[in-house]
Amino acid sequence: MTSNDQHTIDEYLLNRLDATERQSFEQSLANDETLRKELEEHQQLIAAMGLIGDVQMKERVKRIHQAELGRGAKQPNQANLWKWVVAVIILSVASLGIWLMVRPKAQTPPQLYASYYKPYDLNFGSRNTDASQILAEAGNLYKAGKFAEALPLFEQTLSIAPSDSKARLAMGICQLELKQYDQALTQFSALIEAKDPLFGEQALWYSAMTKLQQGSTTEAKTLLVKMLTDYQTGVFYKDATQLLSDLSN
Amino acid sequence: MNKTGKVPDELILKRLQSGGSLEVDETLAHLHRQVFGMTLKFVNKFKGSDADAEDVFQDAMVALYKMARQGKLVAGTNIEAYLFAICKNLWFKQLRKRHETVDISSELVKMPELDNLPLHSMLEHEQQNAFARLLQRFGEDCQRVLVSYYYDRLRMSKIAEMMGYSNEQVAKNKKADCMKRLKAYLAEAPGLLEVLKF
Repeated sequence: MTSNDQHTIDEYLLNRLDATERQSFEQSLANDETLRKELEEHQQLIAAMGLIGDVQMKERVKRIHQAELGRGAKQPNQANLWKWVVAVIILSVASLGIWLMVRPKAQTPPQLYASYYKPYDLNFGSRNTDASQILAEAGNLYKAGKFAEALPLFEQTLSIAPSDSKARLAMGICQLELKQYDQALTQFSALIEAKDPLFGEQALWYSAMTKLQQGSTTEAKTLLVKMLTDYQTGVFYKDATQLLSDLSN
Repeated sequence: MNKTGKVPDELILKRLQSGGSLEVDETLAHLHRQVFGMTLKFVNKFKGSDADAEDVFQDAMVALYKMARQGKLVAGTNIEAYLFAICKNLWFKQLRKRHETVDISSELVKMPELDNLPLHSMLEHEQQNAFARLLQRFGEDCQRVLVSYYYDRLRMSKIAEMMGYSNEQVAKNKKADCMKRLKAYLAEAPGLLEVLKF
């Protein structure tokens, strides 16, 4: 199919063909199964572009929002500005002194694990498939902290839908909670190796958590560095930066 | 702008429908000045934080822009009132999603056109991040060509001019090539395809 044929499909879906072109296209569509399949694919790709466009547009709108909030904020005058500068210096010196007196001693890996670890907050919507219904049930147990009961249901979900990355992540977290560290790492590794677009970052974070719990700080650090490199806008970025700093102390 | 400082709705609509990037940004900034304050009050009144109001408002501006570009806003619409109505409806959707029991149905205007809009804040964090990463992988040219055509609804001749291509055919070829890449990426990511079905 040429780029012009594909363009005609797009123009049809965007409702830009005139009446004659539209009628002719619909006739071809009625007689050509390949064209119908291609049309379906384009519909999906256009939906994807809608979401990608939303992400970009939202960033643009956020910038406008920040600029507008900035316009409304009061600017301090020059005289007050000096008072602020002096106050900030005094506060900084005082804070440094207090921090030096009360700063925490370096924490052990299990202590760091206890500070940073919590089960990932996942949403389990229900769709009308067998796998999704089981997943929704497993999700309720997971959210209630009943990891031992949730685990077999996540396993069952994966036996029906092996590419369900949400179920795989949740299963790994259940195994981590149940101290089945090697099994948990197997689930996380599968997501990391597949560069899973939804949960690749989370898999790296929970692998690092597992390594930390096992006392392997060097491996935990390596995983965190990889996560920070690959997912710079990720949900665990701040935590991972802080944890790396704590591990280096 | 007229004597009262109000920009006529026809002008706002025209800029949103077919304006260039700068015109659109100026129009959205104007709408922000007119509507954000009341959105903040509304969301605060019904159990929402300032951050919730910001999120809802930004989603509403995205939805408004999208509807304008898709030709779904009709002439004669009071755009500011319409934007505020979108904000209220979106906040109601969020409250339902959070299983909050606040009844704000009397405040709402029926907006069936919102039902099929997959809104950004309705996506989970990881889905938002996945789409943002997908954009980064695309490279700048593909991003601009695809977003301009499918999202901003620009004609291929305009895109060719904007991108500095010698003619419209070059732009069509580029679009086809970028779509092939998008298709390959989505084939590797069944989780993202699922998102598109909601």
